[in-house]
Amino acid sequence: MITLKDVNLMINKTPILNNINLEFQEGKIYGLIGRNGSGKSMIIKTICGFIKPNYGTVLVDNIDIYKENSFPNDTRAFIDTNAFFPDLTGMENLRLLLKIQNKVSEGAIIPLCEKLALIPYINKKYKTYSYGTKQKLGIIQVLMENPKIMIFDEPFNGVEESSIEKIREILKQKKDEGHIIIIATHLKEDIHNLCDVIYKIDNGLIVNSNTEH
Amino acid sequence: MFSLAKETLRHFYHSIEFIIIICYLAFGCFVFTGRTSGASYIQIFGNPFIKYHFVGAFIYPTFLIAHNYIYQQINTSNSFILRIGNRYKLALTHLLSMLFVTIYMFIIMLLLTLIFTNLVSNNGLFITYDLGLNVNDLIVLIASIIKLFFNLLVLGLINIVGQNILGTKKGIILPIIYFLLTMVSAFNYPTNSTLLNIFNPGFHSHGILEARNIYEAINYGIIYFLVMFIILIILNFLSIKYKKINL
Repeated sequence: MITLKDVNLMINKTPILNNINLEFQEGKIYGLIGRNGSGKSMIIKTICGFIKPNYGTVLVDNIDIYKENSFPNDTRAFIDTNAFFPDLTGMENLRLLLKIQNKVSEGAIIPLCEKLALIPYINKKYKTYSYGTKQKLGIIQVLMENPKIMIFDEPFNGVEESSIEKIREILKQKKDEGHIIIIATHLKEDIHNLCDVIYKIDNGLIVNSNTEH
Repeated sequence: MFSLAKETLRHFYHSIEFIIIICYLAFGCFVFTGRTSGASYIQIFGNPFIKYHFVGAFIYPTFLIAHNYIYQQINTSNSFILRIGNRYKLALTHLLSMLFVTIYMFIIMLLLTLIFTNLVSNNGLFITYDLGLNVNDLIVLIASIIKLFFNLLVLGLINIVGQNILGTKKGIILPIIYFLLTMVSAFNYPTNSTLLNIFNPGFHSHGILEARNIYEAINYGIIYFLVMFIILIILNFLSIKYKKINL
């Protein structure tokens, strides 16, 4: 479970997050929705252990990640597309990521690539990829090690409709297996009928939360 | 950590930035070995490493670009950072990658100097002791090279600490200040204070300057670099705790 308690974040004296109290439980898909610059990505980066809040705590499985100076255990995130080496192929990039923790074998990559129609590109250099293909590779790097917590920031941008449907199917399946899934987006249509709980964020505040199902 | 540092380096030497800085470095090596063409082999080879202009114009800027590139590469990779596990391991990855790139580029620089020394040398493999210093020249050359290497590591460490504390945009200011301080303070040796002499960064950057003898230069160097490494490594591990990653 992920818990954000009274999280406040200021950057260059500008308040970015104001008193954020959120809870993310196993077996649910959460949506963070809001316009650009509303604070969605900052919430995600705070959960990932990247940006320490000025006040408040972030607990992942009851571990205060900032107190422990750790990144959340068994968590993968897709935050932006520049997380890969442009001169390596997609496969080489994924292989390099797998090598860091050695949790699963390379065999886990291929079925995901097949599902997202990435096979024709997987042995091409990352720098030759279109934006949508880069997005797909980013999503695969999250899914391939089957982590307990999966975080996506604007995952469907530039991805074709058929692949979006496949990703939705995979995410629903992961939810049923008990994973925590968090998706941030500025388009409500992206997460329609996908999320169990949706938090609407504006100016660093949770302005609304509703349960879809 | 090790594989990430290694892969970051591999990626760096396939990049256009690497090719440009190596060409620039090669140009510098050519000019500064060429300036002493006709002298002894060791004098031609040693010339770039004891020359203020070469260190300031060619070595520090190119290594600073390399350190900065490597740091940014790791820092922007969210997917790598999350897999690393904790902030101390991330600090260690930054240190390892900085060490690798410094060693790698330093070897390239030595090879380039060696190639150009052979190109410009008219005397062949012939060692004389006429660097104009009252010491054994071969020891001076080795000490100068080691001091320069350690100083580049200090520069790399300051870059990491600067980026950790001030962020990726402003962080480059700290190593640039150190670089300028090194260049300016190279003229202010010796002073009446031993402590000031030891902790004068310029004294440790290139050659042995006005050291009374080579052993003074080596002893002062050991104290200076030991203190700097300890302080900067501690600062690196402290600053990583509060660092805003990929803001």
